[in-house]
Amino acid sequence: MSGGTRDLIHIGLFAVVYMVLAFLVSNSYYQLIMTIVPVWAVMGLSWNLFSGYSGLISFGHAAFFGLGAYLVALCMIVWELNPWITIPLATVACGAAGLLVGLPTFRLRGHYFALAMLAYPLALLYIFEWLGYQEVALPRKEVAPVLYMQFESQVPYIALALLLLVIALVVTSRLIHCRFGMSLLAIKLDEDAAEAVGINTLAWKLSAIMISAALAGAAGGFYAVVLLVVTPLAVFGMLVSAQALIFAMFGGVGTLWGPVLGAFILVPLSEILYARYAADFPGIQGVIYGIAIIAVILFAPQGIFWKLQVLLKPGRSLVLGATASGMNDRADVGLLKVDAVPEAGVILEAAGLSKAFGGLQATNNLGFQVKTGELLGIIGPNGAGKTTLFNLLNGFIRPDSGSITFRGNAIVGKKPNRICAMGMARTFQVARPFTQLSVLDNVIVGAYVHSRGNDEAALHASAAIKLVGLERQCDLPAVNLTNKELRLMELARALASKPYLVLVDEILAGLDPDAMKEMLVVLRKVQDLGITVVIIEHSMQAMVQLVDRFIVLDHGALLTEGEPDSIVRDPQVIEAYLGKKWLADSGHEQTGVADDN
Amino acid sequence: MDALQTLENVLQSLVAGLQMGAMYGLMCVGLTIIFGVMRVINFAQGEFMMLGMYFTYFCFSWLGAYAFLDGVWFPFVLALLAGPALFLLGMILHRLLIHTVTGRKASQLEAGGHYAQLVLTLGIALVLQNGGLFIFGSTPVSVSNELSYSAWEWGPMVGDRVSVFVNQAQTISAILALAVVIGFGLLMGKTRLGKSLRAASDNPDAATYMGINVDRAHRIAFGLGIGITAIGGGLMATNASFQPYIGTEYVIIMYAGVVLGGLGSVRGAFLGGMIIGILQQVSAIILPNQLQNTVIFVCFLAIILLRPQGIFGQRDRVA
Amino acid sequence: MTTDTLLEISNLDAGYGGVDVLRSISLAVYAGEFVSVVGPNGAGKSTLFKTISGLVTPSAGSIHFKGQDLLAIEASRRPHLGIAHVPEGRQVFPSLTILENLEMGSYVTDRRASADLLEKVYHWFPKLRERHGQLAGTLSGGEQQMLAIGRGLMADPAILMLDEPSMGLAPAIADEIFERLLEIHRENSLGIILVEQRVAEALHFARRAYVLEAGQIILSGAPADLQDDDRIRQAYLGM
Repeated sequence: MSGGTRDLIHIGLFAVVYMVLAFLVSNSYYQLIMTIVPVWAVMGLSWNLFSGYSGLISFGHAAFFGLGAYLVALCMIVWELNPWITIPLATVACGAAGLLVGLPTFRLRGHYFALAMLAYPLALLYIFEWLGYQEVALPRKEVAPVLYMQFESQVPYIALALLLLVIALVVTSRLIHCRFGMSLLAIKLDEDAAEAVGINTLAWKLSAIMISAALAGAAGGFYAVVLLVVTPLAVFGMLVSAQALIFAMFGGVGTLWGPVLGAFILVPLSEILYARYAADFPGIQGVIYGIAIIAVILFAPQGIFWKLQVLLKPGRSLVLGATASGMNDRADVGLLKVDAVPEAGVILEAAGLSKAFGGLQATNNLGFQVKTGELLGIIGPNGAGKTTLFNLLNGFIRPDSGSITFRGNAIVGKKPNRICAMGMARTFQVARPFTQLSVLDNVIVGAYVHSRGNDEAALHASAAIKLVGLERQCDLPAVNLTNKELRLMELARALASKPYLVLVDEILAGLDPDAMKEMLVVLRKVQDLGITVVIIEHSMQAMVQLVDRFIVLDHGALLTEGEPDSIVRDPQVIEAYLGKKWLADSGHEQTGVADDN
Repeated sequence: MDALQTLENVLQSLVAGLQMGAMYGLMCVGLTIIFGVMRVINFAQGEFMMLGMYFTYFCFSWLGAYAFLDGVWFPFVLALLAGPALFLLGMILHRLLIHTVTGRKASQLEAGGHYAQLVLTLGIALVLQNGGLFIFGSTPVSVSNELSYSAWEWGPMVGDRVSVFVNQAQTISAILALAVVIGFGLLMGKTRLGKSLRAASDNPDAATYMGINVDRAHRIAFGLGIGITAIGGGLMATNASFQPYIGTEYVIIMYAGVVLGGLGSVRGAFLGGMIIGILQQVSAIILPNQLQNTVIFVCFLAIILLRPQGIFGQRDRVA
Repeated sequence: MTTDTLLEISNLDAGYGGVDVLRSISLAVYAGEFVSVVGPNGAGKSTLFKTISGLVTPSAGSIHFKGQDLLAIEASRRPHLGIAHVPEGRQVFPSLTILENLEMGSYVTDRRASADLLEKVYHWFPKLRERHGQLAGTLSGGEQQMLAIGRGLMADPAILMLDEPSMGLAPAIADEIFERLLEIHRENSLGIILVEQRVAEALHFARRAYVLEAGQIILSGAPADLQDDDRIRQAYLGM
């Protein structure tokens, strides 16, 4: 049974229980609460779908909520349109608004993004106040009120609210169990690493904000119908955005039921306290929410739900939701094999590459070739510019001048996810795992770029895991891995994208001799599949036994290249590593010119 | 409306803009200190301004009865005293809450702790805002004396037309605001403490190697930022009435000014605040009341989207 | 060999995120000595300095400075004891001027001593006096290195720790800096711990040296003895 199906069952059960409760409760105030709570749960889900998964904190979801509310209200007043039509319309319109907001705002990150999002609802608040819509009341319809979503009893309202919540839950469930959820989560955990494995981060973020905005708009529209009055502060105010955030955070960010849990606990609490004490204690709602946020951030930053989940079932695959291991045992390592390429010979070529950071010339007119199928080592002393070179090849940095050709195509200027799709994968010097995901999920994220569905991705991921030898650890959360296992996982994630060429950045650093030997064996196996490997290392010791050829960098430029035997004895290389005086003082054999210190 | 009347309106707005701008500038400086040194965006900054206003108001109410304190200078002194008072509050808050999400410990949290900082200060804002509503009540109050209602007349400048009325209280507030900013600039530029704060902000690791306690530096910076904004609030209290929710209105003004000047630049923050103040007052000539603030929003969004680093900021601090 | 042990490290284990980079490190530095610590990259040299300075907390072992247990002292208090750190990559305060950087260096010394120290630093590095009002962020690599060293000296330390001062510098400039360092060491009997990747320079100036590889000390002794030892070559070059 997949995660999606199981969620549907849970949702169904929940809906049934809730409706039964609705019929049992007779106090009209409680009935109102039962109507409001699902609306806020939907807001929480909406926020969660975007910010909870992508990690981009939106303080402005009130913008969409308010837009939805005003759209429905004004359409009813001005054009006599009924909410059965206008709520869906508002949903679509707000989705479009999400796109409009996302396009310019996604160029910002961190603080700036949060500030910009804060501005949108406040701006709308002032605009609507100015337009004269201080208080918009929906007219009571005498004739055929049901047509206008106006009912005698409170129960139909509850049913509609529940329907909205169910829709939101189903949408969220569908999304988080497919590559949407995983890609967003990957973006949140490490946006650069996500780019490097082929995820088009911009496209996913835009999709997320559109769907999120649409849900918020629907919630707002329905809210207008329930309360029958819309004021700018009530729908655009900071408290609305704060509530969306709080319910998701309190209940559990990045989960399906977390926001629902948060809303179901906090809304009744604050509503009841408000009813009881508002006269004596105005502002009590805000204080409760404020304290809730502070408490959550200090003690359980991930929300209650995660704490529960960790206790119940650690390390299950989020994607596959399988109760057993998600690993596909039928996967064969040969799935990753690279066929002989027609353009045999040179798979990657750099020419005249230069890059300066401020005054420092990190890469200096560098040119070299990588032969198809070889295992090439790039070495050089600290500060020689090796990682900068990888960042240039992989698309994270743009060179000041020069060209890079991969499999016959010029790639300068292309984004990393594009380059990954073309067949170049990479690992990072400081391991960048998606910490909260299991090993298998981490590798599956890498497999998405060349797989059509979850099953195919799981297949390729399993093959990669087998290749590196991590079958036993495949369900462990990445945080629990040893150094060596982390490196192997990084490699597997890169390999799952079925690359032609893989850039390996200092995968041996800090490993003890046994682990190092193991790693070398794996790298050989990778080469045996026909994949070209370019590896950066400091430790010559290990490399010398592994590589076919060396390129030596110093101060960002090419010092020399050749086979291991000759490189290690080359005086220029010795000088670069050990210093000029070594040759002079130590009396080691020199070939050629007398030392001229 | 003839040309002379327009001229008079424009001049009047400019004067008002300079006065308001100076006070906005002061508040912006407070906000930018916190970001510049600690890289924390404090969503509760408006609420601390509000606390500064109420501090001034309550001291004025309780102590104003004493005859010897009855001078016109009294509210202004109180506004200045709001600084040290809120400085202490800021230090306490940092030690209790803020430091849990900043500093080296925080870099292990998700997204380097930024997320946690934003949300924590949002929580504090909600508590202060609504707690304020409970404690202070929702009726607007103000601190005014004769100076608030007196003005110097500058002019007539053209024949017997074109006079500009310069409100005395506002002018004194603006001058005091400027004085505080200059004083603060001297503190940061010339004193050992100020230099150590700048060093801690430039490079916390190297600062530790020098023997500077970076945590303490952050605490002081936070206190300073809160205190300075509170003085701005206190000065503004002599101008207009206020209620506990006033912080939200000014948050965007402060951020607009700070971002315009460049996050982390003190000079920029003051200048940014001035520009925003002038823009707001001048736009009042052509736009109706409610839209004045929308102008500020539009500016804010425009800056963030087009030139996020502002006038004096550096490129690398955008992301 | 002088008898005063200034810095003593015993069986130190330290690392990041639970992974130990340094394993069972023991070394000693005597008063006024020039000691070098060499080793290939990733050997843990910077981690050693960071642990001494307090930015990294060791999982086992002890560090004593002038007889005091350093690990019991908070990181920002340690410079007060007389141990100064010139970090890898210079790490100057870019928005402060040269003079202000140097003033920060003497954060732990009293005002009278600071004025004298400043004169000395200007004497060794005249370029710093010339440009004392220039923002440190605009200096060249070599100038920043001189500033970083000057800043360390302003604390009037008993031991100056230098982390790869030659990194990213042209050989000629690196040479000049090493020469200057040697002069300062001789004139003031200043204790120096030099961490360098470039073995030759490091061994040339030191009285004693340690060789660090994969987190452990594999060799130690006088440079003359170490230079003929093939194990160094193997550590760096693999054969």
